Amino acid sequence: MPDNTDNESRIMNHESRKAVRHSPFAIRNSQLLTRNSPFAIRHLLLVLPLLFLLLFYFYPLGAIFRASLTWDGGPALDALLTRLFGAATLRTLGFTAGQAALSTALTLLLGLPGAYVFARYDFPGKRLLNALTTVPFVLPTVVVAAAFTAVLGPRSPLNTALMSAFNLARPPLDLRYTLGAILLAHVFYNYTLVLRIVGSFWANLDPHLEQAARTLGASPWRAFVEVTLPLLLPALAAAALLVFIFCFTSFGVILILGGPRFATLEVAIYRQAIDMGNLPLAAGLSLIQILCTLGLTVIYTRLQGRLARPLDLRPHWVTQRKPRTAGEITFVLANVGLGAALLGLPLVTLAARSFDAGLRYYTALFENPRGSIFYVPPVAAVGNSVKFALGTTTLALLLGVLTATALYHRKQGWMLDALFMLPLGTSAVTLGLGYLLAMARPPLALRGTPALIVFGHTLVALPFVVRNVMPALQAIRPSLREAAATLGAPPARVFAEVDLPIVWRALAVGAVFAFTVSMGEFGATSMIARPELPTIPIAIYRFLSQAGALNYGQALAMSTLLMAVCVTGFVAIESLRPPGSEW
Amino acid sequence: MAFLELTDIHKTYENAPLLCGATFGVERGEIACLLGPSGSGKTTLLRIIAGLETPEQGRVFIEGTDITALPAHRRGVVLMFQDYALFPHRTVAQNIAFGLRMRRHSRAAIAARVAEMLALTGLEDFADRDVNVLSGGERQRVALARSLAPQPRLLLLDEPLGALDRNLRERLLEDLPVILRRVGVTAITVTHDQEEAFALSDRVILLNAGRVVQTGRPETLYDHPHDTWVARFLGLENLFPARRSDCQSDLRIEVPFGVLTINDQADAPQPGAEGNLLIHPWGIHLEAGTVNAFTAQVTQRAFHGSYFRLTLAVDGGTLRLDIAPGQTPPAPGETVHGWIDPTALRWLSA
Repeated sequence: MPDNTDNESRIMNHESRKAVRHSPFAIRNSQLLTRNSPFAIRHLLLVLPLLFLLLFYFYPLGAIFRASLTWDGGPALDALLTRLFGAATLRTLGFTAGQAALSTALTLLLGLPGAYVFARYDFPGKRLLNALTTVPFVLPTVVVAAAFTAVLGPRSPLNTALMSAFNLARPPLDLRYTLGAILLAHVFYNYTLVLRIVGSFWANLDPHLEQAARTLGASPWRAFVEVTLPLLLPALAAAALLVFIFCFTSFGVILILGGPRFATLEVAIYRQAIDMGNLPLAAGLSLIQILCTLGLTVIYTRLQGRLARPLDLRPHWVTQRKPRTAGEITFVLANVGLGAALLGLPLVTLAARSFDAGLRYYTALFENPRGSIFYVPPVAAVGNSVKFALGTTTLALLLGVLTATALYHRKQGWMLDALFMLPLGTSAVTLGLGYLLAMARPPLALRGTPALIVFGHTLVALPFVVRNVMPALQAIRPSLREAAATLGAPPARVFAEVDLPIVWRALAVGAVFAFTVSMGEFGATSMIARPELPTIPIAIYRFLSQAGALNYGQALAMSTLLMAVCVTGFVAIESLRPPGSEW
Repeated sequence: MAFLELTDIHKTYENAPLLCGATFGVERGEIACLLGPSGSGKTTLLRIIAGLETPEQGRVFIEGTDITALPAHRRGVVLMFQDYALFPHRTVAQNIAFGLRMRRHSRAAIAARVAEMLALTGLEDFADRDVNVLSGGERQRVALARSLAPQPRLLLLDEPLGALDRNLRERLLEDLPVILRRVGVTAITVTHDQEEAFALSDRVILLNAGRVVQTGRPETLYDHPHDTWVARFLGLENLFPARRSDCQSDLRIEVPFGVLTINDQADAPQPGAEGNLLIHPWGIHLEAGTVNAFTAQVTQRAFHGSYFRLTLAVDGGTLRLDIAPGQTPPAPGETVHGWIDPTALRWLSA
């Protein structure tokens, strides 16, 4: 699964679940609805979503277990185990964890000062900047990877400047296919995560605590270490572990920016399955991957429970002020500049360089030359992506509304709720591998069909719809429904007349999320898409892996188009979200 | 020079002047109280003394040394916050020990001092408690113990009773000055509640719109407010526009409902001067008299438990006074005759 969707969903997942447990409405709703509505109907609503989950999540995962655990032929099993636990796997595992640790450290290092600035200062343009930090959440990894090749490659603006300044014949810097490029792209994705998780916690932390320490004789540094840091620890640990998990399961960024030299577990699964055709080994690696992410998630949950401290949280107007001294203004400007450069520069460079040859890169998308890497004009990928995305949106909305309606009022709903969030914790490549293994033969011989892509995307998009619709349903006061009922509206009519007008915004946000998730999905699609049915991210990846300026240019052009779609989606989400809501 | 001296402090907040030339001093061992309506800049003054804010203009001296630029942690001035700001990740004893640790006291010295503070505030059994489960009054005592433990040169208390409910407030209003005096610390409290100010402090520093308008013992302020704003702020309501007669030889003041003789030689206005006259309610007697006699109609009578409050209509205003329930109070609508004790009259400049 692309890091971007992952990041977003986990935040929402965490916050909304809290809301479910603590909202007084949730309990009142549940009493009301278990009294008023037939038990069976509520359960029937869940049949379709549960069946979907069973067929397109658990069944494929089961196929991975089967493939890795029951290997027919004795000697081959030994060979498989030797390879699975051999030096190569250990190296991959080591690199996966190492780069994740480095990315996490770097993200925290750059993100913490930014979080402090966002938490404690009020400055012009803050709202806009805050909205912009959401952009990485909706940008597909392929686009970001393409953008970073544009920033770090031989024809980057920096190289051009250096060449003309020092009269160089060759570009001095090529950071593509280096660890640095991978780290930078990971910082791009996760900077916002640190800003959001640590920043929002910090913003509500009572500044009097640190000031009390100061008047009791603690220097600014001592007060930070003794008071602020321990109190920030849960947020810091949560952010660090989340960043680590995302970087640990990173796929598109490593595949494109790392080049052949680097492989995380995720990339190794893909290469074994697609390039080597060694499905059993891929399944074995997937199993390791599943165990690792599961372990990390368990640590994350336990850490959160242990570190949580009752805090008197303060509203923002108490904790924030305008920067006053020259030092404060410089600090704020430096961090705002860093954030803007980090988030903006790759995207601006990407768009700018897609016009390097005028409109040539764009017009080339409509041609279908002999010997092309596609069987169709590349622009057909846009058509495919839109079709898949529309299908995904429809299916995800249908299943999402059913799920949310069935679950929002349940006291014990969190277990089922967690069940529907499971796909978010599963890597997309693993999911794709599961489809490869499970859908090859009856009863579900869907391998290679467009429908399977839609199902895969729906699985990834469904949690976003549920996450957005459920809180909206919970926020409707039960008295509104009761009033409608006493005025003579039957349950279906109550939903249409009361719930729907109130939740349509949330539905729209969910729909836009489903659409952009589908448009940008790369991990699972790369495993199951047929060559003649490419999506936009697949096309970009193929262009990027071919030599030649025109291929690269087309990758940039297509990435720019996809970026435009996603940014439009993001603007739609921002304007549809009810004012004051934070995710 | 006083122990603490503030001179001409100026501070703006979001382009609006908050403090404009505040000047005052506090003596060693004194408990002073900054009193003023909300927005008068009293908390900001406290934060400037603590070193958490820097004034744009003006100086702060302690024992003659200019500390205006000294960072908060080197001042030996502890601020107790209104919300107490107890460290939620530390126990009661650890909170109290914090300031001692910052001063690098030995482990044994810290333990001894913490025990002493726990005893002083009656928290002996609370040493290892989680501060998050304490009641409001207990939190207040922990905050006080933590503030006193490092023996600050000056203790600042921002609305020390503000976060407590009414009953607790009244009890602690008696306890707090006892503890502060026992320790002998120099302290400044901030409050918007005059009752609290009067009960806590030796001296009140009254602030309005960023300036000190009057300082003095509580009873002095009450007896002779500096101007009508002070009188109104302290809840003194019997105020009338007044003019001193042109005659040089006697102190006769014209008010809307007659001419009154004043006894107050010290603040006597020039002949012909215009200002306001304050009539203390204790000087109004509802019986026939020879000086400052007046006639009025009773408009309201309210029973307040230990006294009746009467509102009388006179020309140009109302007079309010309290009378003990032993007497039979006149009923609304009745016309009454009375006199005003010349010693109860205060001339306030306009």
